[in-house]
Amino acid sequence: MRTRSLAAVLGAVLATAAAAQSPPVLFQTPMSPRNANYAIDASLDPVKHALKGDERIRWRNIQQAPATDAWFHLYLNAFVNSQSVFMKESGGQHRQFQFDDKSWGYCRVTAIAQIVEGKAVPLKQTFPREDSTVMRVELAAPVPPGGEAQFVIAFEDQLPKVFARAGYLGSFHMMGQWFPKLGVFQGDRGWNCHEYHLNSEFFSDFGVYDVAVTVPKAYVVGATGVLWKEADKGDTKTLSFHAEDVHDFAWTASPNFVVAEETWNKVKIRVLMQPINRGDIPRYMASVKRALDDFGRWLWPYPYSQITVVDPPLGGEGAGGMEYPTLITADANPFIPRSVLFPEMVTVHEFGHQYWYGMSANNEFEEAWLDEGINSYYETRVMDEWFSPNRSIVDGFAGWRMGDVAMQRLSYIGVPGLDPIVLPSWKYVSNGAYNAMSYAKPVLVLKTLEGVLGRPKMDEVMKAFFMKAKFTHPTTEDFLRITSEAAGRDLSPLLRPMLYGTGTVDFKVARVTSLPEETLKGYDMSVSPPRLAEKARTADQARESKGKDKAKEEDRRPANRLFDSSVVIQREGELVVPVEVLVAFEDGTSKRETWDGQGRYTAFSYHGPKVAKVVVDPDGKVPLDLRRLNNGWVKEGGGLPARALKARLRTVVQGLLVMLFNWM
Amino acid sequence: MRWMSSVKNGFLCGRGGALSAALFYLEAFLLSSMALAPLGAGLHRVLDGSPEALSLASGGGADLLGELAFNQPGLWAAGFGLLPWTILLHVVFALVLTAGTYGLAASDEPRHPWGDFWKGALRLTLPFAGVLALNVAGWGAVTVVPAMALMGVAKAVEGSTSSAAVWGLVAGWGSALLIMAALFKGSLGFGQARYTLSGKEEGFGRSLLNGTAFSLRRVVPAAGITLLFGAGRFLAFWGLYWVLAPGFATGGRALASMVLQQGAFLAAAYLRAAEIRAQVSYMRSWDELARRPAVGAPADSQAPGALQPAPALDSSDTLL
Repeated sequence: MRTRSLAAVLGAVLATAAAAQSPPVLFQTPMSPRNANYAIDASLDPVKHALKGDERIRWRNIQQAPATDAWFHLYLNAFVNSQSVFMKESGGQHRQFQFDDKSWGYCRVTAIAQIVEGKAVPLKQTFPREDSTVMRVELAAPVPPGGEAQFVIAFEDQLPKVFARAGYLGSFHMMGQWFPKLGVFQGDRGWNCHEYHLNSEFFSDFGVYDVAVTVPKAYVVGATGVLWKEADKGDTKTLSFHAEDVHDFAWTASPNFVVAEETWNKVKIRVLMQPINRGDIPRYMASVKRALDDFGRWLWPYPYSQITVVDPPLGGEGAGGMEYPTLITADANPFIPRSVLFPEMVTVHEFGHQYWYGMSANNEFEEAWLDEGINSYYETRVMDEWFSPNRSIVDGFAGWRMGDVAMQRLSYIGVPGLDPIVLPSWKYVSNGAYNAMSYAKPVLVLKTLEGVLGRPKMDEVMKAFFMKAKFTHPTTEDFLRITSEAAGRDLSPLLRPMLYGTGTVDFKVARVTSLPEETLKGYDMSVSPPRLAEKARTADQARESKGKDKAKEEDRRPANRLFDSSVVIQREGELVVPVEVLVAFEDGTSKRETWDGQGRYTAFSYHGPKVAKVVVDPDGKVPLDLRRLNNGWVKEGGGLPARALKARLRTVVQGLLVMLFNWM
Repeated sequence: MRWMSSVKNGFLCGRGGALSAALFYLEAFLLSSMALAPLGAGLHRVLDGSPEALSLASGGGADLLGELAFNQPGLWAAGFGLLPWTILLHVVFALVLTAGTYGLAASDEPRHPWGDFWKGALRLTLPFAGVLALNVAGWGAVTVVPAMALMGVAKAVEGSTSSAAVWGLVAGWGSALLIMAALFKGSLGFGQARYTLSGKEEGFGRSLLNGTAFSLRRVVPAAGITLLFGAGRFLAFWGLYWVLAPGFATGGRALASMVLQQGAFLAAAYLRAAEIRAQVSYMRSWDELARRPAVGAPADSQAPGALQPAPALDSSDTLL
């Protein structure tokens, strides 16, 4: 690759800045600190799948300590060679997608300078971390608190064949994490700028992005922000996008996209669809509309004017299921049947990230649950209300159905106690543990919290957290503090062990006994003077024999007999969670008890009809419960579940045997 | 059309075919019941006392199945403990029943199907074990080739933007595989039919070779017969999984689904018996055409239930 001189870079950047018309103002009052602002001019070579860019960054130090250096992410260097942290951790596989080792990628800074008193002072790049995804420069002039630094950078990208978020496939280009990007300065703690890890996502400051991309004229482009200018030059066109109060910028380009646009609640929904999946456009549209409504109702109306949904091509699904500000990638496929609701779920999930990541911009490297987990909780709510709780992922596929929360439980119960939720993403024992702890367990924790607080209070609490967290970098401690304030009670004793610990909870019905009421022996003290109970019974028997035989017979009927019953509920595991218990009796009545979960067990006693059924957590308010099959006891089960499962298994086993006849 | 006539002979199976189908069905039913008994007992032990488990009865509770997998590993190990032995036993029984069915199909005394069945079983079971070995090898190929084909299709459709292209590729590869499988299976089937008809005149290996040559010379009708019965079985199983299986998710339809499920298995068993008879009928008709007396050919072709040779060649039969 050709290296341009610093003077040429600076000249190009300044000339672009001078020649530029003013982009539109989207928000009269900034919603975020806007301390990391980017202007980028990039040109895509769709044949080489390469890009050249000039970048100008204006960064303001909003911390209380001076900055003497600057750290940048060069995320694309995750794909530079086999020695990158990402490649070593992943072994070339991300989710279920395999890296093509003939198609490496990189991001190379060919020149970088700091503008000091109008002059470009070249800066020396070093790579202080384990790989070249993190670049450091010593500043020519330190930046005091409140001060501002300007950088000009020339860079070149070579895209890998897409398997993990960014890259190309044929003429499809997904440009995520594609430009040199500042880390987050944290004052005395220095720059928060981690390597690109297999399990981690990203972290950056808010700002304004002005990005001009040059692509072949036939290409359809989707990007963060809004398109405000388009200019043709020969066979190419340059599209200028403007975004405010966002912390990243992504774009995509392909000549094959089918464009569908609709407006909903004053938000333009733009779907860039692969022709092969065009039949799924209504599924995407409906998902975004539903999410816009629900997130707007529960948290805050979506503030941006546009959301773009990108559908990756067949074989390029590694780019799918990803969030960027005002642009998300989804995941449709002609082979996914209608009864499997993954396209809806993925679209709702990625849209939700506009709130949990986009606006509430936590450090995804270190506390991924704050976006993935909370967002997954809202995803389950949208899906459950849209479809129904027990069929919000699989809706009748070959007679099977599955709800979103059940899917999260399935993920959690496989690795419930290996790692805590709050853990840097690269420290999890496995990719499965990261997924379970960052996505699934937080859903179950928040559902459990919802069970404790009730839905209205939960909504109030979560909205309070969002409103304080939006356009900041919230932490788990912020979450605990703000939610406790909003709940009017300290939620830490409940939540802290769930978030920071590896403890589990498992309620079970330990014992149910119903014994016929015991015949009194000795003195009956309820009469005066006390008399021996046996004498009283003799008197009773005498009365019965004088004509009360019928009534006695009635009393002897099983339904009318009285029992002394005892129900013992046990809590295994370390987590203390309040729970309800439903006790049903043979006469059709029932009682609902509440146990605060303290201690290892609790017992309930009854005098009356025999106990017929006991269910711990009858409304499923504690989905964190590790084993739900031991949550109940029933006197006569009937065996229906076992018979039904066996019948389904017979389809497989007998079917296999019958099929074998064909090969004899 | 000779092959259609053979197919008709297969379907109009008479008492002999009915006996074979019933034996196929009953054997699979009894063995699968035996294989599933420990699992059924285990499931009853674990689930009967749990009100939560009710969602499993209606097709839900995937997380509860996960619980069973994670927390009750012994349930599955013990529950499926008999399955490998059942399959082994089934292989032996299936060999005997298949051999008996071929023998019965070639029988000249369909008035005594039970006796003919066992005569055929005694004579053919051992040689047919060789077919099983070929099938194991064939299955290996049948597993590897589709896997490679799938990888090829996945590679070919990568980045594809056209539905027609994708489905065309899938259909193309699928058809090619289907024809390969039909030829392989048909060759074995006609080899077995030939050996059954030729008695001890021809060794089993030679019969298989001649059967393969036979089905390759008449590739369209031979593969057509195999594909036709394959399609019938596919429909039966498609119905099982996609039409009947959902019935288990609704309490009211569970019993009906169970009955229909057994109906589908019976249909699959009947189709297998019919396929064998059709193969034998088609093979015999060509032997007659060659003026070569088929060993075991019916002395009295008008006997009730006897397998009728197909009519003479007409223009619709394909000779390759």
